Amino acid sequence: MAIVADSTPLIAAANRGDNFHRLALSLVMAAGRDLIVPDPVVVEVDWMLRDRGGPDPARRLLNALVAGAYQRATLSPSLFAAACAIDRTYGDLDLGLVDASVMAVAAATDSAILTFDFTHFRAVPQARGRAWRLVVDEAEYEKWRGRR
Amino acid sequence: MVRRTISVSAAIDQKILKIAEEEGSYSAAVARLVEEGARRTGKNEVPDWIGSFEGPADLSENLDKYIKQALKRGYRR
Repeated sequence: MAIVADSTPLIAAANRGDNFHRLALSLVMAAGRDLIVPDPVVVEVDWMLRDRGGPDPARRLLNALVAGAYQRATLSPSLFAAACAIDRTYGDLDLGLVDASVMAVAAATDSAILTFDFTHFRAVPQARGRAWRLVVDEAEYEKWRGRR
Repeated sequence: MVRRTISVSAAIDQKILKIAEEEGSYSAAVARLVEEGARRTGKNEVPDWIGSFEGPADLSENLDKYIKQALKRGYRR
């Protein structure tokens, strides 16, 4: 099953000091090449890794993407329009392009979503009112807090 | 396809012979077992970007806060 990655698990996987590093590591390892990373997520993660860890961690992730360890999703004009429509429809939540692109790619590929941002992904329903399939839920997430 | 000559212990040879009976040929059984093992080994290797830096414990939890902080720092530069 394909899984679309949001920024938070990727950042937690790269950051060994993160409260949810173990959980993120396990989930990313289990997903392997089934993991789809939309380009806006790549940009956000790259930016945050450079800000907090310098260029080396960011380049390592980029190298893994270049090597095909995970799939990248480039936003086609229709996916970009779908992401913008999701952001516009749920304007009060101020989702932004990154979260909206994760949702648009998940809808287009009928994939589950790997995120630790439950507020946004629980608040926005999929088409026809269905909830997104999340790889990990809030209860499981909390069990992993601080686990080394 | 690459051809290799390998040595295995008698015990392993017996196991492969048993599997080969079901699969039809010794070399097909060896090739399948090696491929399976190689895949499993590769899957357990942690990629080098994972755990590649030590940042704040709440970085992923409070990502928006850290993005805003970084943007503020950027504006001051």
